Amino acid sequence: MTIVAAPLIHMIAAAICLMAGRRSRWIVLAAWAAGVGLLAYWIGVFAETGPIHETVGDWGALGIRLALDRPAIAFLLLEQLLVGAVIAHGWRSRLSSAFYALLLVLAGSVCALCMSLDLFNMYVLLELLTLTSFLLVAYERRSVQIWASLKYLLLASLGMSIYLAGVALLYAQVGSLSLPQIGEVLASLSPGEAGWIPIAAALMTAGIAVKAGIFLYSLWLPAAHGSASTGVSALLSGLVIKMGVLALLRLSVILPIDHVLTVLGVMTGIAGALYAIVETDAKRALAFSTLSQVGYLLIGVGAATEAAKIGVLMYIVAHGMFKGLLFLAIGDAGERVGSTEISALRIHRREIPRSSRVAVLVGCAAIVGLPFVGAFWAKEWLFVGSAPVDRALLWLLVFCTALVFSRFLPIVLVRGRCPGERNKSLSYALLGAGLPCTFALAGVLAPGRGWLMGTTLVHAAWTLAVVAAGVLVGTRIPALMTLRLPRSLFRIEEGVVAILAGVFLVYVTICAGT
Amino acid sequence: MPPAGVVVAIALLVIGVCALVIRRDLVFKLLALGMVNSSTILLLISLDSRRSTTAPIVPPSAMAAVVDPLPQALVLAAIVINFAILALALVFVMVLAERYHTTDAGRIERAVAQEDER
Repeated sequence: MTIVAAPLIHMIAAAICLMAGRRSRWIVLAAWAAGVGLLAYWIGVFAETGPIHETVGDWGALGIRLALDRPAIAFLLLEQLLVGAVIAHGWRSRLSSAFYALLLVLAGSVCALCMSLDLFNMYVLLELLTLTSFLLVAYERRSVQIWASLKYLLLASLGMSIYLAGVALLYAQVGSLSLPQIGEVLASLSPGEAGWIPIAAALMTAGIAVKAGIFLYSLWLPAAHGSASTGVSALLSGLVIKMGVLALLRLSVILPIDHVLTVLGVMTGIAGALYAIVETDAKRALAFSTLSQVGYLLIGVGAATEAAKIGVLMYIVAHGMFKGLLFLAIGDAGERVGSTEISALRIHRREIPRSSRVAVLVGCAAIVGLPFVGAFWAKEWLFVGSAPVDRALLWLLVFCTALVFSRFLPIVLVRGRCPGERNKSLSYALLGAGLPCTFALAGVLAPGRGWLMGTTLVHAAWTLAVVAAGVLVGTRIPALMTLRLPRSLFRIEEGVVAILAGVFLVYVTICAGT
Repeated sequence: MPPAGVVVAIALLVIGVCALVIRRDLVFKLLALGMVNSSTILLLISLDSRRSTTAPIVPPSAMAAVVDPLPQALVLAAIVINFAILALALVFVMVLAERYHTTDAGRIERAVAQEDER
């Protein structure tokens, strides 16, 4: 069966949704079930015959190249699990048919984007994602949301323009838009013939970085993810941000941007964690922690080894699961308490439903990478694949993450029997069950590499030590939380200047590396 | 010497980005964004234009040198996307202007922050 079926089903279902009115949630459910079936079938085909390649609209050299390869499989799995959880979470919320239509368009463009190997097709789909998430953030029409999503649209559109300028330069030099063909041409160039390629690479990388949740580029992110409604924040942080990371992953195969990604990874990892430590609002702290977590992914992509790439894919899926879980659970707790301020949640912790508290606990355990919880295996692949310097940086990020999430512990470590809603517990369960899936994913992505990697026990001991140190520092030194960091950075004007500075930074790093 | 279109495109890009930073009015910011987006489109078209070529409509007999048709097809999609973005952004600016009676980015930022704290 053609692989275009997955995005097509979602887009057609979105059109039907708009006509169906009150019954649209059943159509979303049907589209989701069809997606799960297709994914199961393709995982079977992939395990037997390897990647599937297709060309849409093949008139000579003009067609759009699509591939169902390892990244695509991982992303389709993440998309199905997260969208399923969001559907379950909002099942009784009387969401309008427009919301469900947007959700399906978002899911459809994610499906198409993760298979796309064409630079311009990627541009169109990234813009489609921008537009749908712009409307989803402002779904409740609160002023904070409208302002946050307007900022997002302005900065993201500027970023995509910069990306398109890079594509134009690359096309003028190479004469192709398909990634495999560009890769062949670039590999045959001698070092003196680079021409416009470093500038094009800088423009494309910086443009996508605006959408990928990287600090200095994505300064719109905390406001947008912190103010969106519960289910939408889970989708944005878990899925939409990763599409930018996926685009960077695809670009890093053909362009010389490996060490650029390492630099950006360290920057976003540490700056995001610092802001998360001082943030007083739980949802915004989660949004900042997303910036920090993208650091792991970029360092992994920058390491450019096979094991690290598998680790990145597993970590993308795992992060989608536990960040979605945390956003849903904290959002529900905030609704019950009436505020998402960490201090308010701490005071009213007995009113938070038990299922939400358990979900936050599981999410915290997963995000710091405690042994034998889903994300642990992903991190192990990541560590095995990276060089010693990168490994030290990754441990620093683990420490910072433990520091951030030590503040959530007082909220959850309490006895109380406040019951929760059943459909919300189901959505937590779906994401919680998705965490072990990342472990099984390694079997599909890297068959024959063995399930355990021999270093597990050492890695587990190190993790425990670093996490314990982070939690100790976090709970014993409260002065850290009163650190003052610049807040004016998150306005539109500063965002634009930061993106321009970022283009320059990437260009300088590329030139320094070659 | 690069084609004249490329020079104009870079000039438009610089003016647009400067206006995006300097002008505080949201409508002006959107106009500036429109300029930035159009400059990219101009860049895409003019990078592949060559002197003494014609439009990419190949007559049946002649073998005249034509411009690469692909960028011109791509630009159509980009124009439509930029139109959609500007239209939706203007709707949101309208909503904010109705609520706060201003289109000044700084004032809206402060008003939203105050409302959020309450």
